[in-house]
Amino acid sequence: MSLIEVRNVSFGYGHKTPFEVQALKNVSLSVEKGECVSVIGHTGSGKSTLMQMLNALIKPESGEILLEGKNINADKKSVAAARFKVGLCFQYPEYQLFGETCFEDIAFGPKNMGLSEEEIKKRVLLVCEFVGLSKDKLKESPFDLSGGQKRRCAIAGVMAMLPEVLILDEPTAGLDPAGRLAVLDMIKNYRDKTGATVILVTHSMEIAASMSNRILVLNKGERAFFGTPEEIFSHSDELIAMGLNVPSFAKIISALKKEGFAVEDAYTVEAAAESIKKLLKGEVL
Amino acid sequence: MDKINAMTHETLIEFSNVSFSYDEDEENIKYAVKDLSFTVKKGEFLAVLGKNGSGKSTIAKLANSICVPSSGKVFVKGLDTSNSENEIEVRKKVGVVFQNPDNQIVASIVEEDVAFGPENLAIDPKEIRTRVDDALNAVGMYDRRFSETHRLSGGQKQRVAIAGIIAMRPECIVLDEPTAMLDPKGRADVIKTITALNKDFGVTVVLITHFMEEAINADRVMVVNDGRIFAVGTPREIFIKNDLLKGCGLELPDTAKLCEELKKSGISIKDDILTEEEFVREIVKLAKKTE
Amino acid sequence: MIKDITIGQFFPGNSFIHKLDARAKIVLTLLYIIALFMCKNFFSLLLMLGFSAVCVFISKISPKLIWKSLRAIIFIVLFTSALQIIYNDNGEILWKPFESRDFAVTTGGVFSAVFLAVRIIALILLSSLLTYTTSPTMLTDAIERLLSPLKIFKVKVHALAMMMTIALRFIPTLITEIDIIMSAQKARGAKLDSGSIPERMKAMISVFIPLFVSAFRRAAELAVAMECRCYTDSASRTSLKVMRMGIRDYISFAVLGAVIFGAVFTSFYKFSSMFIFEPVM
Repeated sequence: MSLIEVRNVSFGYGHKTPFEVQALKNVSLSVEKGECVSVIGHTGSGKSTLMQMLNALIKPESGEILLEGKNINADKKSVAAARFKVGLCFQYPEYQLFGETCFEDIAFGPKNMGLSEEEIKKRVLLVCEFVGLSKDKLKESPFDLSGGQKRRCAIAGVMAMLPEVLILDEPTAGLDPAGRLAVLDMIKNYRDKTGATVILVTHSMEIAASMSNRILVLNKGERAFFGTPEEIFSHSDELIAMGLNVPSFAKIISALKKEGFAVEDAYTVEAAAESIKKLLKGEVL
Repeated sequence: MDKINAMTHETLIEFSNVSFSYDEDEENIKYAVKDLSFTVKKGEFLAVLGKNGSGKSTIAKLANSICVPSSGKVFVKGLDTSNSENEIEVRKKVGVVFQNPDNQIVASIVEEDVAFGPENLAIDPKEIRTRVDDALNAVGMYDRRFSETHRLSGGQKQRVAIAGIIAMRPECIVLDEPTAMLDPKGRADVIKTITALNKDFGVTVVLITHFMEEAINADRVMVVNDGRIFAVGTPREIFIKNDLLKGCGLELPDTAKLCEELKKSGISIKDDILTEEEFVREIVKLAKKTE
Repeated sequence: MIKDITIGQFFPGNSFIHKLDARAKIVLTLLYIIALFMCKNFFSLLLMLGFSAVCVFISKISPKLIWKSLRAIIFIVLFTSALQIIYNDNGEILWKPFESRDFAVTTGGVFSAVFLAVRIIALILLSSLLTYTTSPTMLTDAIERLLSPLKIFKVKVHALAMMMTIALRFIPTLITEIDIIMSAQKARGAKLDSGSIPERMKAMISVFIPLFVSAFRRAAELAVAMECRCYTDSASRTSLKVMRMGIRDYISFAVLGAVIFGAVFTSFYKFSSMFIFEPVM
């Protein structure tokens, strides 16, 4: 049994107005426990809608979503259970901070779960380690933190619920290179320590390639591709036609192939360098 | 707008030993920028690179008199920005586009927003109409002129914001991380628009960013860290300074990363490679040699 | 979904109604509303309703949208109609459900219920047409000009208009923002749509604080951006769109004048017992 199963899900916004949009069309997929899946697609491809469905914020108009084999929209109890089992961190999560202190903000989720004071405290301290937020910041107001620290605090607020599935919508949006790396490290930390399943919505092919074992490509509300990074980047021409980027390393390799060199496929720096090295040392032709 | 191609030697903006601090606290004062001196030439495309908090956004606010230096002077075409009488004149010459497109669009309809600046300048309605249409054409948003601004994508909103500045016919446009909140398609469209404004319409461009790829088309790159200038030069000169860039919290362009990786394993490859095409050409050349 | 609301939205178009001067449209709508309240019988009321129906037709606004805006006020219509049926005991008794009680459904009650419903519908029809066919900026520009005599009393009419423009511009942005914040807090288990009333009130704090923080941040950023674009509150500004009353506007005034005259005239001219009837207000 897969951990998450999405079965023939469809959804639309603004029915009966001139601005009607079909956000998702008959999408199906399944995610196994412990996977890290990246979701790629340009704005309006239905990514955010699908993510909100996975923790029962949006109910599919048709189709169903199963978590551990049970329909998450079956009744109120299963909806509440899904909200806690599937943690969803929205884009620019620092804009949802509200607590008087960072501690209070991070503790909001665990409190809503009805955990004991002791357990809450334990969890807040634990996630501070995951995200690299120093403990003396916990007494400060989240609004006094720097931009990067605000993002840490907000992500910690979702992690503190210790969800089995952690979904992050564009967690690196608006950050500089150092900030991006820091956020990706937090996610890796969380996975390593908890063994959770992670779903990552991103625009960056580089992040998708380096973080995940499978990539889902959505195009205009439909599932375009779902497979390993190798499989996905072998469709680079189709991806570009969809208005998506391909890692520049993959582009370079495919350009070399067009020049008539039998180089090995690669989509990361290391692999691309290795493949070019072999070419230059005359190991391939 | 006249077509001017080459960068001239006429100085448009001059920063002379500029320091600026947001704190009023006199003791242990923290400067956003410290002792900054540089000039922007008329017609040039200058990229300012730096990580978050490096002081690069403050430069935008200093350039059009939203902030005035704590010490030192900023001149726009010889006008001192710290003189409040020059304020409007300075802002007419230097327009600024900010990071969040949502928070700089004033009107609900595209063409009405673009008209906001010229309306403030009390320009004749007929002239405003021409300027609005020209500006929307220049950013490729003329077809959407009657659209509601909140229904546009991020990239489209940002292009409308650019048009709003262009319609004031400034000599220089400063863009403060205009693509930070956009998706790849929006980013590409905005960068294309900015490049075209500089190359085809002769508008001086100062692009403040932390995306290295966006600086490739610039005439000059200025690297800023901790409120100070770390390096100035052409993109080719700057992008080979791997250690300097990393030290300033910036990421190397992908081609530079690949070159570095190859050099590590003992392959000698040309230093100043900027684009993917150049890289592929170089590899093809090297590969043919080994054959 | 909050996003489905259409009232107050603008649907660009090229119809006769779209092209009318915004000031004319506001004044015409006001005159129409005043006339509506002068109508005393069904004939005059139907004449007015017919007028707004024709306007909708000319504007080429989809009837579906009109229906959406009507649906939003259907509760008010039903409520006022119900009050009339319950409290109005003029005319003949049609139905007396409880022998012991005083209550009865009367012809007067039914008539005034229908009468009021038609009046509210006509009112909503034309006023939603005003916002559907006029861009928000034009609307505020027009209000600014109509209010400009107030400048004599040192009222900053221009600043008021600018505030309205910005408010209208940011309503959709803030609605989207509320949607996102509510979803995000629900994802953290906030009891916004489940739980007891005090629990919900408490959960709303987690929505309101970020919303206000964000609104102030937006305001600060917008102020800087406006200053950059040379906005000063004292400046004499020009406008992209020159407002000029044209032949269209005069024709519209003439047509509405004729309709109002017809409606008011028939209100005082009793020609059929079916139409003679005074609603109790």
